[in-house]
Amino acid sequence: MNKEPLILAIDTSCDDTSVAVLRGRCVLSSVVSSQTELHKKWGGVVPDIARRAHQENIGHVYLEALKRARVTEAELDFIAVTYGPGLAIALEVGVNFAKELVYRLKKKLVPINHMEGHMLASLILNKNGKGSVGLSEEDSIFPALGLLISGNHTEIVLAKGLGDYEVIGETVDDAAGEAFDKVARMLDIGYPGGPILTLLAGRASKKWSDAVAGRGERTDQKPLPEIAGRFGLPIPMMRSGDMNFSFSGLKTACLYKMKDLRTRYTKDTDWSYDFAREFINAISRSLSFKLKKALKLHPEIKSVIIGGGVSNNIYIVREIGALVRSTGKRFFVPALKYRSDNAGMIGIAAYYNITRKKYWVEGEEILAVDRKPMLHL
Amino acid sequence: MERLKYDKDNHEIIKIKALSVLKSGGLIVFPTETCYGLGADATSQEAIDKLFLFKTRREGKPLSIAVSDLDMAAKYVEINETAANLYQNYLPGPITVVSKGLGQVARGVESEYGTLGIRIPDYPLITEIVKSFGKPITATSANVSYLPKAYSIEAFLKDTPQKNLDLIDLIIDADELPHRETSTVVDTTMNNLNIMRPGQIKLAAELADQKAVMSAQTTTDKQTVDFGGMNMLKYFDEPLDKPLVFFLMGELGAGKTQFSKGVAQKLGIKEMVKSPTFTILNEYNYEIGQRHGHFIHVDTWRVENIKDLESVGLNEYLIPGNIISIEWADKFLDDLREKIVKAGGKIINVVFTYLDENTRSLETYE
Repeated sequence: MNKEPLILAIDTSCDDTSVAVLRGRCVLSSVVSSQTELHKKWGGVVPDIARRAHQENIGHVYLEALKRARVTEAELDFIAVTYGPGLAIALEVGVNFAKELVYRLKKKLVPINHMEGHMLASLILNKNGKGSVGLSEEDSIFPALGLLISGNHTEIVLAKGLGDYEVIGETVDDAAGEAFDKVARMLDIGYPGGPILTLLAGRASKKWSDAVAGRGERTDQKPLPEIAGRFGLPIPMMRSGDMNFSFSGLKTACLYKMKDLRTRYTKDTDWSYDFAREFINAISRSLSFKLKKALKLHPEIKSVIIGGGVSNNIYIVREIGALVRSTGKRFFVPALKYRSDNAGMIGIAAYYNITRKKYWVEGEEILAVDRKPMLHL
Repeated sequence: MERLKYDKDNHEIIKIKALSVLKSGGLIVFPTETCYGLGADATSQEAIDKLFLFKTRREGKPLSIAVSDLDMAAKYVEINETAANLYQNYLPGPITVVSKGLGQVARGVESEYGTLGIRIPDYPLITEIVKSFGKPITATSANVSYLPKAYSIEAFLKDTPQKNLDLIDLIIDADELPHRETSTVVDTTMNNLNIMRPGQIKLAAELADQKAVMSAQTTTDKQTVDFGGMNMLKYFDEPLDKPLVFFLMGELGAGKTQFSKGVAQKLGIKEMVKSPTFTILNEYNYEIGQRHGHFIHVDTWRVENIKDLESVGLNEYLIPGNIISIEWADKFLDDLREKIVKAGGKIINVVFTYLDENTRSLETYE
């Protein structure tokens, strides 16, 4: 028996109900419930609706994932599930479903930390075994630094190897994704904030985009290093001396700057495009500044791995990518569909837990697995 | 199926043909500033059923519709402040604005939660057709579900099975469109200001003739944290026989999370107290000498209904020994009060106000 294990992975940590099937590192199918996709896109996260939607969806998402992977439930070897961090009542649905499967089918259970999923999403291979990190190449990318950025998390993780993680920097208040949502709220442009602010930033004047990206001639007086651009938005935590983040002060600065701009201009659009660009710049500069610090402190690392929904932002990925490449390290970004929450990444994390024998077989061990909404890496 | 090449000269002819197809409940494939769209009369059940037949699988995904302007949109959805801002400032453009629907479209167009996504395409031919038609048309992408989106008619004809193509009545061919991503969807139904205001107004009136038991002007986060700590110290003995609940009320970024950090610090909690916006409720354990319990940090920012706070377990935490701090408590002022009073809890109101860019006024009322 030399065959790679067949893994079914479940993630219900927040909005989406997702189930994936993997053969070893290869994702055979990855289904995200469109009903909850709809709920996320069209309604935001409402806990009770989230729970109800997960409960309604999980059965058919499970069957669809098996069908698309062309496998039967009897063939499965392992059931992996996110047990934290996340929305408690949403996690519960996935954990209970996984336990029931494990009992009914007599399989092994692999509880997974959602953040390890984000950390390892870049290691996913597609159906044909293709991916950015080749087979048996994974050891060559560690030690690595992970930059995990999402609606709920902003952290720098030192991964000495698979399964050996240490959070060396994290937000002390709001997560980066949350800052996007709240600034979008101040601009009154709806939810979620990330995509719409990115769209507005794309319409920033060229002069302005160039200036914040550090290209072209600067039209205003040379900005201070702590300032993201003409509007004077601060780049957070430049002097904190550690690798932590904070986006709450930036949020307040945005609020004040907007109040001021609104008294000076008649329409928001007179400034909002450039403003969105500068706001994103403040976030990405803060991320790259801290990552640079981490790179300096850990010269031994071989690569930087990015993950989480905020890594959908092209400006941020571009800036981080440029920084990493300038240091000669390798840079990994998950495929688009594995950046936001998905079960494929839970499956890949499970694969490496299985190779380290971190799974449960006994009834009591399985019973003891419980949701942990505030789980840390 | 008729296929017409679109150029400046036949603008009017195309409009007339498109209108006649739409009026008879037919389907048109039309160019937009993103990919090719599939249009049908959004108010005609027959037309929408035909469109679903073309799309094949829907899985409950709502359709978005194209309107000509804000006035037309207002006939089909509730326009709140956020939506009005988007229409006035950012449309037409590749943005789908989701609002609460008014039930004026055919079945299956609104989402199962009664919301509806609206587009004003940045493509004058289309907005003119919609304007003349006087009703919205669907603006879903012109591809069978799970097949690639179409940026040219050639690709569309190649990718679409013949039996689906047979359902199309008119194709407006504007050559290859620039490969721009599909529209960005934004939801405007979140954080409806209308549900916040009654609580804010009521509270302001109540507190107007009350005297603050504690107050401070803070210019740094640390001072706000310290004020939180001072509050916790003042009410330290309250949780002995009843849950203690801080209602934190004030604008975005006014320091509500910092205040909560201060409370947690006084309780000896070593963990990093972060914003609970995303998870809605965070639970920490505290232990000081013989005393122990939970510190519960709640944020109603993303919550629409008091039931949602129950479903994250708020009720179960309303027991003696626990200390709870609720950001944006004014959103559900009456409901929360009723709940806490029923549980025998003590409520402390903390109001955060901006004085200027660097100074906040913090006031505590009982």
